[in-house]
Amino acid sequence: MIITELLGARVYGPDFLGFVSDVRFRFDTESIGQPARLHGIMVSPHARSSSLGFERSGVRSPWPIAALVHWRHRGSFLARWGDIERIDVKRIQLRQGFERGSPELP
Amino acid sequence: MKRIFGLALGILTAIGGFVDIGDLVTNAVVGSRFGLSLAWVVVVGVLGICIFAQMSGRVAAVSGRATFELIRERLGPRLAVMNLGASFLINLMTLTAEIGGVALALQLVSSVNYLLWVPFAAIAVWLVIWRVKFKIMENVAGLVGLCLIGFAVGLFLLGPDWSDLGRQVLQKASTGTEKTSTYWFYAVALFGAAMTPYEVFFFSSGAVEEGWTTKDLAESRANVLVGFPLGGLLSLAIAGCAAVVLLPELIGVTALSQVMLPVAMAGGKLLLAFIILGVVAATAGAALETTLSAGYTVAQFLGWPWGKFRPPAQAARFHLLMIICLLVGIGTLMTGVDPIQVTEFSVVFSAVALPLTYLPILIVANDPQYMGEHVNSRVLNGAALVYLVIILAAAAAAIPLMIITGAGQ
Amino acid sequence: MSAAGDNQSPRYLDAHLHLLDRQVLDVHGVPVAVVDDLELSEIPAGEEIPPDTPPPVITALLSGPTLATRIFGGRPPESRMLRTPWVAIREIGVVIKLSVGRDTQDLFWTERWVRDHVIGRIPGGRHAPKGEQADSNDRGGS
Repeated sequence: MIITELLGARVYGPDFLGFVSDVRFRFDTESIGQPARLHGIMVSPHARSSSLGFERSGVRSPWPIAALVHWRHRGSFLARWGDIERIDVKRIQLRQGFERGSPELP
Repeated sequence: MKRIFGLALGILTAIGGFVDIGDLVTNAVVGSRFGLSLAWVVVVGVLGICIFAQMSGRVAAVSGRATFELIRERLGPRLAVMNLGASFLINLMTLTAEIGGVALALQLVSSVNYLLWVPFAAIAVWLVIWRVKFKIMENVAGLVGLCLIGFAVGLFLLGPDWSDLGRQVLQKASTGTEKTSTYWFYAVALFGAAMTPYEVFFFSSGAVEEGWTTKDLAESRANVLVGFPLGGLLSLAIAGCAAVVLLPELIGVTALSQVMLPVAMAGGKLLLAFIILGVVAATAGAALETTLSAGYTVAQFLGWPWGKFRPPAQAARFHLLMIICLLVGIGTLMTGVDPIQVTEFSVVFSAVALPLTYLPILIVANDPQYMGEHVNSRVLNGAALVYLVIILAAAAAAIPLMIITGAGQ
Repeated sequence: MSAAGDNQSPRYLDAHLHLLDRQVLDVHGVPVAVVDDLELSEIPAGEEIPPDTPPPVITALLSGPTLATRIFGGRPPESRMLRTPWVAIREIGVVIKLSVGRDTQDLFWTERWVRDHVIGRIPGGRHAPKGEQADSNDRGGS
């Protein structure tokens, strides 16, 4: 599977939740050659893509642009790998009782 | 002396941006029709390009990334490729016009037909790109281009009525027979000419060519603060000369020779020769700047190895692209198209394409992952945001104004 | 490998934010390609994923003619894509740095072809511009 098959996919809870605007990976340790494991997907109710990209890093300037981007990505959350029940072509189903994680980068 | 050479990148960028063949003629046209009443646009434009180039130079020095790589990273494929398409076409049009400009200037000093000079000019530009070290290129083209100071000398020698000129600067209405829409068309054209994206592509890529790092931030700032205001002053001098000599007689400017007329009247053959040397150097500098920008933008977007600091064999596609661009330029000019008219269109399109280039730089200049501690200050952000509004306004107004006024008739 | 440039080393990376469209440099600092896509290990698609299935990992960076496909959809065939294995990556920051040299990678044949057949044949093509020292790869983010 390649990442562009996941990006932009529609995400369903029971209802339509949003689009995959990004995919988050996690490293276990810092050493060289560590695999990057899929940690979760960023679900954004209104925006299909993650252009400009700084709505998650906490960068707040310049403020009008940050405000615009935050507004466009309002309601975004992180759905962890464990909460993904099923992946079809451009459609992702989350499990019952999935958690909405914070979209901010830890 | 070394300090002056250290400013050559900024000076060359400014000369290629402010007094290339299109601007030489546009400034004279504006001076002959509106006097100095559009001088405020030059000031606004100089401040704008200073802000823009300062940010992109700083980003290039701190992160090592030149402008178009950031555009690709920040805008996403759809917008970035639109930007690339527009920027590349503008670069191609402009470099065609500049080669034509060099040929026009050489025709003035010789009795050789302009069309015969065109291939010669293009080959000369190519040879410099192929074999001459970046630093030597910027020093020679930039500093010889400063001969255009002759226009300022000419302005003084003409002994103008300074209070009259001053009054023209302050009166913001158009003079007599000119329509308001034409006034604003030329305002947008002058603004677009001051803030052409290729200046920023060239300046930031040049920063990487020079190997600027965090230690060179002061030098980067000096280049911006000396180069662009100097370019603006040269623009104003050309407009001033036209305002003093051509405006009262209502002489129209359509050819390069008419741009030089005031100077010839003021200082005779010696000053004229000095000016022509400056024009040749400035248009050649602009040709180099736009050709290299065409190569830089495509290579950076597609991830090719690029740069004059590499042997051509290690940046093969980059060099091949520029050769093709120059060949297209020669071909276009040989069909007899007027290079000056070509720049008038490319300036308007530059104004339209500007926001897509400006925005990614503004965002990256605030991103700590790229900039570490050297992110924009609040003051700079404030000014940059004001200019974002101005740039968006100019971009929206450019094409309607061009259509309404028939490109400034 | 270090997962960021500066003092903060996040242990999380977002595909679009940190990896896609970034420049890849080889061990000498020479640009190799741009990251156009990421190859993940197999995920059971079209069926329910059992609750304890381990998450997929990134196996390789992919580069290729994806401009049209990223805008309109679909993907180019595997044979057209340049594949950089994940283990070849040394550092991920503003650029992605590899631990291998360019020629041991499957270098884009277009660059090689243009070098051998066009640029290399023009006099002076293989030399650095006059007066330049051999510091040719010290710039551009290396």
